[in-house]
Amino acid sequence: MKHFGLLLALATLAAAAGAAQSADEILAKVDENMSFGDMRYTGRMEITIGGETRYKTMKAVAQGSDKAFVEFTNPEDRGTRYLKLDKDLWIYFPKEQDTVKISGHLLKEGMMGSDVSYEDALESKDFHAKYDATLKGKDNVDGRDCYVVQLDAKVPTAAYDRRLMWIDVERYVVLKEEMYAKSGKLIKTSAALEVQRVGERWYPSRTEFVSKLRNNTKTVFAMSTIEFNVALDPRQFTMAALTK
Amino acid sequence: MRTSGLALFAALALLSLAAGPAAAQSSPEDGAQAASQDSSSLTIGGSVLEQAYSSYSGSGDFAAGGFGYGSSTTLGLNLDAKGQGARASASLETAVLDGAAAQTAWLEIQNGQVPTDESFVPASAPAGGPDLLVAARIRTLYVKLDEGWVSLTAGRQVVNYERGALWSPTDIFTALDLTGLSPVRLGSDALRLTFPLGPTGAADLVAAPGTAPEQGLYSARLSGLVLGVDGALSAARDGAARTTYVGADFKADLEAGFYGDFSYALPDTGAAGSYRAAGGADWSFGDFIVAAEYYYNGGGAGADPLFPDSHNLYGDLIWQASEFLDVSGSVIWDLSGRSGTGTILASYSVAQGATLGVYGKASWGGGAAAVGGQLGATLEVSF
Repeated sequence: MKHFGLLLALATLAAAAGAAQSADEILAKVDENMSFGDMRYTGRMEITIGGETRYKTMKAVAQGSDKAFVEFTNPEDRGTRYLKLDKDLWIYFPKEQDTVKISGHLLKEGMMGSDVSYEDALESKDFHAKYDATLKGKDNVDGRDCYVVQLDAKVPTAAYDRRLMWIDVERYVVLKEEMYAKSGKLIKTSAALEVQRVGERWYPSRTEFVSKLRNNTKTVFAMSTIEFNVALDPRQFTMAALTK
Repeated sequence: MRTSGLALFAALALLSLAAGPAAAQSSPEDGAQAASQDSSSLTIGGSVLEQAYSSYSGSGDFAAGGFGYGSSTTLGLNLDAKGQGARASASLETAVLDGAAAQTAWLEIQNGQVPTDESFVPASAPAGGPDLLVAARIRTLYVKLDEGWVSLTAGRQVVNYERGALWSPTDIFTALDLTGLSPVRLGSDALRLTFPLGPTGAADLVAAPGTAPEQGLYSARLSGLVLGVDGALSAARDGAARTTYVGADFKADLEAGFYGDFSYALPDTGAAGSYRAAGGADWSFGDFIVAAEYYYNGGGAGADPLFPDSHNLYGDLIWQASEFLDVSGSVIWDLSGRSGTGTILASYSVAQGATLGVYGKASWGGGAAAVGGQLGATLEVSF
């Protein structure tokens, strides 16, 4: 009986290990899709409260998870530029010719008044490096079969403490996501509205973010002319480029 | 409005680049085209700001009067022309001031408190000031040449060395205009040469010779990111004041942001030196962003005519009530002179490109008009 108990415990551990491995594999494939070397895109944020919508347009380049450069192009914010190097962020305001270093706590704030945080918009999604993954089961989102994977932050620089992802079993794209605070409170959800084939990968080109900390608001972040592995000038990611 | 030869040169460059064969006016909807860094382009944008308010100025005895009504309409135009390795930029403003707005501006003209980049029509008026005044200013007008990543900027530009929200002792070029709802940094007619030193560093030389080079302002600054701290060392010379300055400034991120800015002034006369220093912090929690800043002026009115007293405080609180609504409150407080101003402003995005603001502004201390205030509204449309 004693031996049977031991075998049962070992079998449970093995099953758990198998599930964890499986979640890691799924996440590795998501990372293949979502992380990038050099990337360039034009973007548009549509911020909606109730029936009212405002938009902001931008063009952006990014290099891995550490470097990003964004320039806003809509009339109210035209010429405002962001440079992110690792965890440091600078904003350039053209009218004042002013470059300001943004404190780290602001990285979690909404970018230009939207529900998309600086971290959501500027970071490469290298989930493996920042989260431990657990497979929670399977589900269906808008007619597509999905793995449900829970991510728990393993480094303090992770954008969220816990994330629950619905990952397309064929394309390895996150179709739906819930982001939680350390307290366990749901703070944001996202849903992929459009998934685009870009070269060899699938990428969510239109994503809806809904803040659960505010009522009746959402932001749709749409990327167009997405290009991966483009040849970017490394000097693009410098302070000098902010004022160029 | 004094415009130097540098600014006129920048204006000619702007016209020349704008007239280039590859120039194309952008469409506001087409962000990618407007912001293209790789090809020649001309971007025209701006805003129209309507402001109306009722005001009080007096000793606090409201029965004695002192109430007024004023309004202003301001057109701001921003032009940016880019060519291969060259860029010209202009930011121009013209405003029509009515009633109390005209009279307040007139009073500031008489007291010599008008921003240096602003001029007015008419130039003379009856006692009490005109009922209508037209103001014009060239905020910036410069040309920037890039050779590799070394850049030369000539013309009216905002040098902007500042670290903090309001005060920057190390920046001897940039004057503050506090007449509006938020502080505005004024441009200087200068030549600026910048050499990048790695991704985050730069060596920066600025000269604002004015009409007599020996009376001009000059500075050299070395800046960079070291161990996560954005820092700079600087040296400057004010020929007119016959004073040499050395300074340092930094901004560090320890969850909250902390910054400091220090300048030591050494006059040629052999008199004792003096220092000015500013330090502050910013922090966000939930939907709030708060910043506080302290400024010490050890040089008196000669070093800083706008804040001649020793101890000064600035505070700013922003509540992002929703994606479309911001409410902010700020206070500038002269602790030594016991005077100050406070502003509360609510801004709501009423339509794409249009923002409606409602504000209250109060001032106290600092002269015969011991109490002043404004209650008003603004509507700004960007294009």
